[in-house]
Amino acid sequence: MKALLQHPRTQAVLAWAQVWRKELAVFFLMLATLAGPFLLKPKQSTAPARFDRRLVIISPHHDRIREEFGHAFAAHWKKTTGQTLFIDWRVPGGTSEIAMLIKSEATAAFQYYWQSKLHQSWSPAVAQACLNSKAAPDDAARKAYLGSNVGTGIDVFFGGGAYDFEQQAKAGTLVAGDGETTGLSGLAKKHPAWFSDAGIPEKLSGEPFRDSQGRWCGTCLSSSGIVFNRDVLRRIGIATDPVAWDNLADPRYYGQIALSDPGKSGSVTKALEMLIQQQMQIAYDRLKAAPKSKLAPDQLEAQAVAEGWNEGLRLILRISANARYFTDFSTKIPLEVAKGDAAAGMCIDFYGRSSEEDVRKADGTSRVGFIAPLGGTSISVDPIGMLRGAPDPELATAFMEFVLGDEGQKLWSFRVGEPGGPKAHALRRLPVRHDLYTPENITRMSDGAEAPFEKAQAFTYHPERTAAAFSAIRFIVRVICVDSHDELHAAWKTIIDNGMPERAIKVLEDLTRVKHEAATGNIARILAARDKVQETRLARELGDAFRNQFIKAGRMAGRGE
Amino acid sequence: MSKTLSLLIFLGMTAFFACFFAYPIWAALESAFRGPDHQFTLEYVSEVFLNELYRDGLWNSFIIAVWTTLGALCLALPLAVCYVRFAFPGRALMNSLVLMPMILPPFVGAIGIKTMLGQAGALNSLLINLGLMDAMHPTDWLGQHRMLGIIIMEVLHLYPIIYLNAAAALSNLDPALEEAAANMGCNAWSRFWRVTLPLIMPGIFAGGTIVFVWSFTEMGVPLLFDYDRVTAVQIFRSINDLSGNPFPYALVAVMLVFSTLFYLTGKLFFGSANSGGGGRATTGRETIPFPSGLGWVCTAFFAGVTFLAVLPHLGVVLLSVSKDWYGTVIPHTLTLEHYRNALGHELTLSSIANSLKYSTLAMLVALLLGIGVAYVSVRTRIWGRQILDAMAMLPLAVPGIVLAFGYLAMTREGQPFHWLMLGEDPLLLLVIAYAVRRLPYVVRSAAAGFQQVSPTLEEAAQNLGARPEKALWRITLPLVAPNLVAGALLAFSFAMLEVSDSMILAQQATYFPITKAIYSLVLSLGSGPNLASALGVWAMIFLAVTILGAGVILGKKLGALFRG
Repeated sequence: MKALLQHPRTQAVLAWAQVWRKELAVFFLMLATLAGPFLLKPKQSTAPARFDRRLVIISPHHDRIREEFGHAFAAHWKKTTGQTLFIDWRVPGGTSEIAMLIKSEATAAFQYYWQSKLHQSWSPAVAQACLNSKAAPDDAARKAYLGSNVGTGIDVFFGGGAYDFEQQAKAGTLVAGDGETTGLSGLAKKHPAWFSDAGIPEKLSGEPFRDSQGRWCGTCLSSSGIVFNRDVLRRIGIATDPVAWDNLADPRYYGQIALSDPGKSGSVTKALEMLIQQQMQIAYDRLKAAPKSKLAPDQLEAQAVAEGWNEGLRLILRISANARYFTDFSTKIPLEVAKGDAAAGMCIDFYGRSSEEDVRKADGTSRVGFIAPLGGTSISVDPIGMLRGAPDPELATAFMEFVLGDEGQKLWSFRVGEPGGPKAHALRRLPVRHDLYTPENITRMSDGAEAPFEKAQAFTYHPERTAAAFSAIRFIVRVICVDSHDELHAAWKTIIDNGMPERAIKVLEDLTRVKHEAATGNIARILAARDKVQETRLARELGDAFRNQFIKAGRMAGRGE
Repeated sequence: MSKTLSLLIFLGMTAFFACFFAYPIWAALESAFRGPDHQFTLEYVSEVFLNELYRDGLWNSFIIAVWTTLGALCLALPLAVCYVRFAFPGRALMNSLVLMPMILPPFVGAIGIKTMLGQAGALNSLLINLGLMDAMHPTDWLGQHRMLGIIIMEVLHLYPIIYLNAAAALSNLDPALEEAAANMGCNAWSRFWRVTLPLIMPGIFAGGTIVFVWSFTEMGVPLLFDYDRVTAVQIFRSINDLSGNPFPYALVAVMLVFSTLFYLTGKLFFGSANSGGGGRATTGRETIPFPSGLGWVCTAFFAGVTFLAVLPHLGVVLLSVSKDWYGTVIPHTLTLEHYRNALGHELTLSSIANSLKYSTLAMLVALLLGIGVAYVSVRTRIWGRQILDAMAMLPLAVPGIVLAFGYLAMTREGQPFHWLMLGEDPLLLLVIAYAVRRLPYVVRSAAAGFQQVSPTLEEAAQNLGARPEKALWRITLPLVAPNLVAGALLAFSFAMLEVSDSMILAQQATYFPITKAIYSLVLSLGSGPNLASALGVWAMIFLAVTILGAGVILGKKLGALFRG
């Protein structure tokens, strides 16, 4: 040892280290810092440096779902074909934003195709017609688009709401495949049992579960509900947990409601739609029960829809007035509630359940709770579909097959550690395939006791009542509640502080500008035209009018009127 | 340096600027002013001004900028005066500590401050424990005062810029002028107001302008506070819907006009004013030792400001190790689980590798360009060298988000620069974006170096037979190396923390830089903020090691690091 130490080579190395000791120390420190992420890097990655094939998925699903499905599918593919997959997740935002992005990108891609391949001139009329399902059937641009394979470079759209998938299918950005091997139409041929009433029915209690033409299909179930923090509820003097949507309009919740912008999140839009649907049903039942009703059935329906719309929007306005502020992602809602920054918020069921589980104490109690409002929510699906011009349709189809097959369905619902269940986190979703709710499977599911197919009977979804106004809901809520929140919030505060004067409330809640007729007429028409200039102008006019109205209401309340 | 080489550098720089500075701005502006029939139109821009939300956004950005600048001024000026004038315990240490916020990413700090200011957060818990707040009626600081939160975060991040400029101006000030005033019977207070302050105004305003434009266009902090009525955030929100939508571009145009206006106003009115009294000091300045008690007050002042400035980041550190930080001043149960999950997250390793790649390349590009520009403008007499210098400083006036939008516009499919995307990889774009944005810092560091090294040394080498290029390479560059290292380090660490370019240009998870990875981790279900904090802490440690390490290696030359 001593000889080794005194060896001239060793001496030279030591001398060298002596000279460069500062540099060496810094170098090793940097190395140590960099070592952390290297040592902890995931053992198997869905984004390997070398890969054989790539699957591009655009998705609003949160990271736990992406992680579980990414790993499981990559492993499944490796096992069956030996190929290494790169699963390229694109997560630009919530469902509403993804829908916008797909249409925007598809238009840009089609513009390129139209100009440089077809050598035609690009005009606003072409831009509006190419993705417009209501364009004339012989419109050249529309025909060229539907006949083309112009893509956005993305294979699969995974997750979101049925409404957005229906819209994409109509626009032509989602495709059914060739009916033989690719797309959902190919899968329907391969697994007819899945696409039957025993498997995935086409509709359940009015909610569409899959597209009849195979352009999209539900993958798991979801419902909307209220997530709440019991500590905050007690603090603001509310002794009981909320049970219905209209509880959230209670002025005691002022500044304590967590919401996110429906212009960004599909799940919040869905919750708002449920709220409006419930009011429409209540109005319908009331009108029907009225003893001297002389209305014909279709008049009754129309009146119920108009009244329910108004009442629903009024509730949404009040809930928004209570809102603390609007976040950009719906995952932030349960987070803020759990943190105690808000008393309650609207969210999709499994966000609420996961959040309750995350802060559960050892004794089984949790400060966070979740309820699905009675008669206030339907059971709907989170779909999947293949996009036009998918770079790898075969792989896209295989992924859809995996998600809809037994393996994927178990991944959604099973507890961690159960055979076929997820690896790291329970996803707490419910399978869309009815045939999988066997007693044996149910015992392995986190929420098997929910019995969604039976519960769905409690609420009948009437798509026809809100379908025409769905995009208008998003737009109107964004303009009058989100964009005008400062004014609305301030006016509501003055009203509450002054003992809720009726006239001021009436001014605040004056919804004539956005009544059902306008929402399905003028507003829906401008939104459908996809003309940003018109849309921005409409938003400005509506927004200005409502902001003035809120300020006026605030002033009136200040004077005690 | 030979004239041909200078000219070559000049032309090269001009071409680079035309392609990657002027053209992207033009590409963004074009969409704002071109109507559907390809005619010039002001319709979209006027719609921006007609729209109350956009007007409010501009107004709020302006208010945030004004208060941030004032706040930073109030914090930085006394610090600078204390540092230059007085001797107090731990002076050198305090001087470097007070600069710490420069390397702490403010949008990461925002995660910490959001947690601490929550209704069941640390501040409220502290106040409740002290009996200053009713446990049943905690204040919702963020619900009601988000703008205040944003301003505080930005003041605490940006005051070092003013501090550096003010300290530099103060130390360059000729003490003889103050002594003359004192001889005439002027007391200390009015001496400061009437003599010192007017003389250091240009320095203060140089820093103030940068802070103003920076906070006017800041995106990361308001984004994390969910504050939408700010122009930068409004622009970011529209990124998913660009096709056929001219309004984001119109907003970008308006923002560009305003920030350039602010920058030029700062330059014109205050930048050049009364430099008459400046010049070099004729006598050395002696720092006045405080009586021991007061000296410690000074130290405490510095320490207090530093503590305030790192408080958000302390919150981040606590958040990153806490299990469930709820209703207590400091978290009850600690865990290292978040580090395991965050560092082991799918995004993390690739984003770290990406960030290192982008930042290193950007640093090299900025260094190369910066040396060229600084050399030409300091050492040569060719025509247009001032223009070159001014051009290199322009990125300070142009918000990152504007440039990012421009890069996006010029690389869309079918556009002449589409090849820059390398398929889908934004590598080149991000490198160029980072390099252009940080060029001013490198140019200033290098120029300062070239000014300090006498050209006679190089001339002597040339007399002895060295070619001009060799003389530059062997004599001048080694002598200015500390300045170059300082500038390069600054460029590197700013590139690592860059938010707006990263958020807009990197759209796919594989190419995310670390800042965007942190932003997307925030959104994870359940423990999002904790995970983001853990990765944020890692980034801070890495930067600290880099910068402190460079300081250790360079020894005392570190001081030059922040003298932009």
